[in-house]
Amino acid sequence: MKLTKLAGLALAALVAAAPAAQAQVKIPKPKIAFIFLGTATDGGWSQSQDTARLALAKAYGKVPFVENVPEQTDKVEQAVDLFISHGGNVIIAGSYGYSDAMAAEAKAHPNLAFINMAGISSAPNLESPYPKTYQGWYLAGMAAGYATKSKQLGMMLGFPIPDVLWDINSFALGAQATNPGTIVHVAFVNSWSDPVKEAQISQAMIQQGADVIATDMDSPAALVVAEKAGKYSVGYQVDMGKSAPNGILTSVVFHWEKELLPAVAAMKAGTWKSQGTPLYGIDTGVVDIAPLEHIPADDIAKIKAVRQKMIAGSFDVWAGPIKDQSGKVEVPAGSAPTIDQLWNMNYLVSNVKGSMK
Amino acid sequence: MMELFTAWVGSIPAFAAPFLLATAGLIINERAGVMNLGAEGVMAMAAVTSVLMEMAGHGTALALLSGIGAGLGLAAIFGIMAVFLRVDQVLAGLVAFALGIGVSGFLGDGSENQTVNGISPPPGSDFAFLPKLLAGVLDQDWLTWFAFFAAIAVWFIIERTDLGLRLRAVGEDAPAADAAGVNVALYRFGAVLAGGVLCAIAGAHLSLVGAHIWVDGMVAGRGWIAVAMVTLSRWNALRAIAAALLFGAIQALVPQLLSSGMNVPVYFIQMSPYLATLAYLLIAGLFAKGADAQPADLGRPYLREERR
Repeated sequence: MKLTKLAGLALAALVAAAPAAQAQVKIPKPKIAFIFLGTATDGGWSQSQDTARLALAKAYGKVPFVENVPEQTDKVEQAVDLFISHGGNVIIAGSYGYSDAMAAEAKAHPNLAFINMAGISSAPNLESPYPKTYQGWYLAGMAAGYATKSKQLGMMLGFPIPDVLWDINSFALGAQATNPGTIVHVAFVNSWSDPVKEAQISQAMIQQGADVIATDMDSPAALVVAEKAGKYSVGYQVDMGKSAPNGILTSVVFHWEKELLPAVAAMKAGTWKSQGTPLYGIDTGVVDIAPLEHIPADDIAKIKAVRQKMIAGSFDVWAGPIKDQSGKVEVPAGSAPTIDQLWNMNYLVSNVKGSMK
Repeated sequence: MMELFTAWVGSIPAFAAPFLLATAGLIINERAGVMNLGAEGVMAMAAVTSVLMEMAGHGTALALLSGIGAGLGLAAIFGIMAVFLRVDQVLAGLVAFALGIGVSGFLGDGSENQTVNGISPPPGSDFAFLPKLLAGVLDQDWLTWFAFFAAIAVWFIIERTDLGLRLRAVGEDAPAADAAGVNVALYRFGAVLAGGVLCAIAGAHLSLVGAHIWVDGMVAGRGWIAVAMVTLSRWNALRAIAAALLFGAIQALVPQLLSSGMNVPVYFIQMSPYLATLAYLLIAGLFAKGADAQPADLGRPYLREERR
């Protein structure tokens, strides 16, 4: 898996390059600007970030933004430079593909603060946070396990990169926990958004026996097909309940504002330090699940109990033993992977059916 | 295994329909001598407009009609540029493409990823008395059915009617057609509009039948594939059905294999459209007849006073 290795290597290099003692960046008067991959109203990835932008605007005044910025270094740098030339001093972007451009800009402007949601690059003044989406997906997997009758689930995802692989793996582990023997069919769409293809994959999964369809994509297209076929579904990024009111179990949702509001407040106070590429868990509220529906109340209570344990820090999704598809032990019993190991995930767990190569 | 096969075969027509509609539309264009590269833009305009109208509560039929209207509007702009103003057709097509993508993104801003009812196959099977495989193929939504009838109608009109004869004459040798009393500009503009209607329906098929939502950029190159399929089907609407079915079959196989849990390499997905193109080129090459099927006057603006 070349992409995974490359991402891992890049990450390792960046972590190694980051100075041990990180300087603090003080921004007495934050002038924030946002760079979006999609449109601010795309109903998914960028909209979840726009919610955070609006929260910041309430606290710090108008927050300008630019939409539809492609994952090309020169285009991203143009957008960043434009904001900086207008006095922007806190630049917040939101895509994995912006990582190089943000690193270059952070180096060129050491006195300004940069945050790139879902990026993989870091510097003393650049942080790339990501939610522990696997916590939400584990809970969603538990719900899917309770709901399924055929013991077959379907999940579609963008690309087989580590932070996507942990979504499918945690979903499968959650389903395994509540309904042993459940398998998850996996399909990589090879795009972050291709609703026509997503609907077609959803249809095919249902035809082959899946009765819960989960999407790791931006659009609810897969859920619409499941709803029409009378099947259950799980949404992502925002609460997708409106697209599948009769079949949705929950959605794994982002609340970026819970990370960004404290970060900008710390910048203002002069206490902000880049954490590198930190993961924000369900205890911070940056990731969570939408209200659980369409499963019995005692099942909901059991899922909520696990959620509480996650918040208290006494439940680790990745507690061993975890075996991959070939039966190889990836996480031995009694241990759990480090964050670095998570960022290098390159396997599918044993109850996932399908290939990532 | 049999179930996989049945599901695969049953899903082919809906995969093929948008390609078939757009290809048939472009065949009308090109047989009249107009090279239209704007299909992607026309499809996007129709896709967004039909979703917006359905979201506004106007019902699917009116939504589809509005989508056709929006696509037709863009096709008319292209037609005026390419036929009456005799702008270079490639440039005019690219303008229509860019305009359609831009305006559709603008119109759909704020309405992305919102579900509409759209068009679905009838619940249950209308053909339950037939063998399962055949019933699966026949149980399609009405817009997919329409695509295949439309392609047959396009073939019949172009190849078997006087109207089609004049249309072909305009595309093969515009001065000769003009000398014979055929209004070249009128025929070409009419062909652009008729082709625009079919491309627009292709776009509406993507959003109303395929995804039930609008997302910026959701046509995702399917209009360009249709441009290529015109050449592959050698400007013949019946061959376009074969091309679209073959293309749809390969495209439809991927999700079936993926969801069956078989180990299909992700790279196979990326490769499959090109594999389909290659396969079709091979077949087309093996059975090609002597003469070149490309309309002789394709892409050449016509001006009566111009020396040729």
